[in-house]
Amino acid sequence: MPSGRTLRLGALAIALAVAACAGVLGLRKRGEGVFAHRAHVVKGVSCVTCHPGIQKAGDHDPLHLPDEQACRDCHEKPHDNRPCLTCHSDPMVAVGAAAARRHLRFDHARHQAAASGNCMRCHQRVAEGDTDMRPPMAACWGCHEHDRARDLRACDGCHVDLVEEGTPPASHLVHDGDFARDHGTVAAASADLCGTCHTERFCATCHGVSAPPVSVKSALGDPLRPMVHRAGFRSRHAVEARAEPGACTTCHEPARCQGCHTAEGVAGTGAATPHPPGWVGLTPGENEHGRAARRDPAACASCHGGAGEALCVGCHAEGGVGGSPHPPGWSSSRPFTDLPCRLCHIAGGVR
Amino acid sequence: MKRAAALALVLVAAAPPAEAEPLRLRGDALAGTPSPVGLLVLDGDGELDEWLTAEGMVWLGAGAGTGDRMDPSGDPTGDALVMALRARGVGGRAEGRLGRMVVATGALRPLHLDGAAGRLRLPKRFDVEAFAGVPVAPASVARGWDWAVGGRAARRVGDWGGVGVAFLERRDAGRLAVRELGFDGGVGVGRHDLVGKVAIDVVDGSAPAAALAEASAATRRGSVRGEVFVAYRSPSHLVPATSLFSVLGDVASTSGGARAAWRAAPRLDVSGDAAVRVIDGEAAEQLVGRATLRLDDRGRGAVIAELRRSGGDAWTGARVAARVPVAAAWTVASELELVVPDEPGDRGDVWPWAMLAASWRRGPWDAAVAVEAQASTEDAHRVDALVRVGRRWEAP
Repeated sequence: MPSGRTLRLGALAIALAVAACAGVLGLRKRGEGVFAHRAHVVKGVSCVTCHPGIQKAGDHDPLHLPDEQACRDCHEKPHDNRPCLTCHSDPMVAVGAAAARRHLRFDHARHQAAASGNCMRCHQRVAEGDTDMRPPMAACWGCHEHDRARDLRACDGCHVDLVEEGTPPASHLVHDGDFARDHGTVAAASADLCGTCHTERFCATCHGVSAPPVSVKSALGDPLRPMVHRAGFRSRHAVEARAEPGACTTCHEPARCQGCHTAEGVAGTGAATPHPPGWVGLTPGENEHGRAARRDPAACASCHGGAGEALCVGCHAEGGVGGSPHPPGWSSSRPFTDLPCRLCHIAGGVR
Repeated sequence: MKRAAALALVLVAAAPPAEAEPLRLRGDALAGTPSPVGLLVLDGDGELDEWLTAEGMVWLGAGAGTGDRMDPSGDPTGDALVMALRARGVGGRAEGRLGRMVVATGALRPLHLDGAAGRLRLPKRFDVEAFAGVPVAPASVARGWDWAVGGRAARRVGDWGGVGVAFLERRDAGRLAVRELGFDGGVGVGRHDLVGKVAIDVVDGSAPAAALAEASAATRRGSVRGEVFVAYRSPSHLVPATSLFSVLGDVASTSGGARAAWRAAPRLDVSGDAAVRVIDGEAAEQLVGRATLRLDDRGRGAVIAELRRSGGDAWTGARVAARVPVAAAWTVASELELVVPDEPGDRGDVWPWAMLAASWRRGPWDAAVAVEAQASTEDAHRVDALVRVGRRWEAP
């Protein structure tokens, strides 16, 4: 058993490690870079003292971010000769304000009466920190009735060019969890809602069948971008396809496999075969292909689909050495002249 | 900090007010040593009028071994991925699309289509949508008399949910390939949500059976999110009904699992997945553990570490990746993956893959260069280089 002294030392070491990592983890702000909104408010400095004219600002007026003079009006003897906002500001706040100006239709002047001059009614996070000044959309909906616009997916009454803005909708459409896996289920009932931010080609880069893997190649400089085919997928794709039958054909046409396998010489007609020994034979132990085909018919179809099916019919016609391909209890109301029935029942001479 | 502040001031001074969406065009040229490959991608979109928008994406490429859409001979080839017009009218209650597009309708499988799609938003929160056209097919399998038609009727319920029913019929070379009914629904109440969809194959007219069923339920409490999910997928959902392999499709895949995600610190996310998939009576585990540390509040820089186990004679792997901004215009990134396959074959017990990249962005220009190295069952060792250069244009 460790002694009490050892435990105390261990606890102290952990506390020191956490303290050392606090800045990295975002538990405390590093440096003095952030502007102290809260401190100014507590001291009775009103918002318009530093942001003069904001209460009359329209959609096309300047952003009314404070300049050096606004600071020096009060801080007559600063501790440093450099401009105050060089250190006492988060540059990303200004970047966020510029993005909002470009992508939101908003008029401060028209909101003054409703807010009774209380800026915090919308800018609620001023009290919590100094890096996220943009009000959440829930703050808008606290007063505005937007049910009709929401139902009609008419976001452009307020939002301009959501596609270009590319801001993740943190407050109302949370893309959390493994969204690449879940999005089909989540989007089933509201694909039109997805379309308010995402373009056709956003969907088509995966679900389109007429393109090379553009999305994978174009993200070559960003390994953190969510992708289905990440890292060394080329090496893993065979084991992944075997482990999760049908996963590939959720997005890809079977012909996509065939095109690449033919080019690489690993298709059934190539110099090398992808099948292991014992794939086809006369005894059950030599016939792994049957079990594999039942587990993952899409994988077989990726090479043997279309005219290649004749390879199967050669053995699996009624009376052939392979026997009937139908599972027990099989029934179908389709005519023999239809595909795939006629592959055996007409063309194969079997009825 | 000083430089960043100056940059921010420039951005603010140059920030235009909110106006109509501009017309945009972007071009990307990609080149790489694998094959070799050259690819030129042009995409653009814009608002032609208040009620009309257009979007397009075309590509031109050359190089073998890059997928079914590249000519194995290496001769230049190209195609359009998207080329669509979208119009809205009747106060936003009617909407139509025309051209080459992706149609995702309720529980039905997404369809890449040359055709038309429309939606009507009716009173009482009813929605009706329909589409018709020719499914886009890779050039190698192009056929005549391919067509697809379908639609969906849906109703939103209060502010908390919606349900829909959809139908799809697809013919390949005039023959029935897909006839499918789909049902979807979603509910969101407070911190909890539940979504699900079922697609039923009705090709044969025999007893209908689910070809695809998926459901997910999630809840959030503070910085923790929990989720359970189930999925059932029949092979009949994956191969055309005209394929001989469709008659073998009686072994379905069923999976279920849970996921938990925790924002352990403002910049640190930790998550874990545990799932089991059953095929033909055999169960295989799927386990993932992941941690993401953002290096700044906006997540421009980040480090991710991941452990993954894919059971069923598949693989176990570890992956570490980092993206670090090193200057206003430059970002460097690196990634390392080690995969231990359950059946390694004759190429070693570990398949390493590594990437080192640098990207640059200034004004309308951006570029990236990357070097990838790997060893696997296909190649004892392989090193590839990739480069991309892009530019965008905007017209107000």
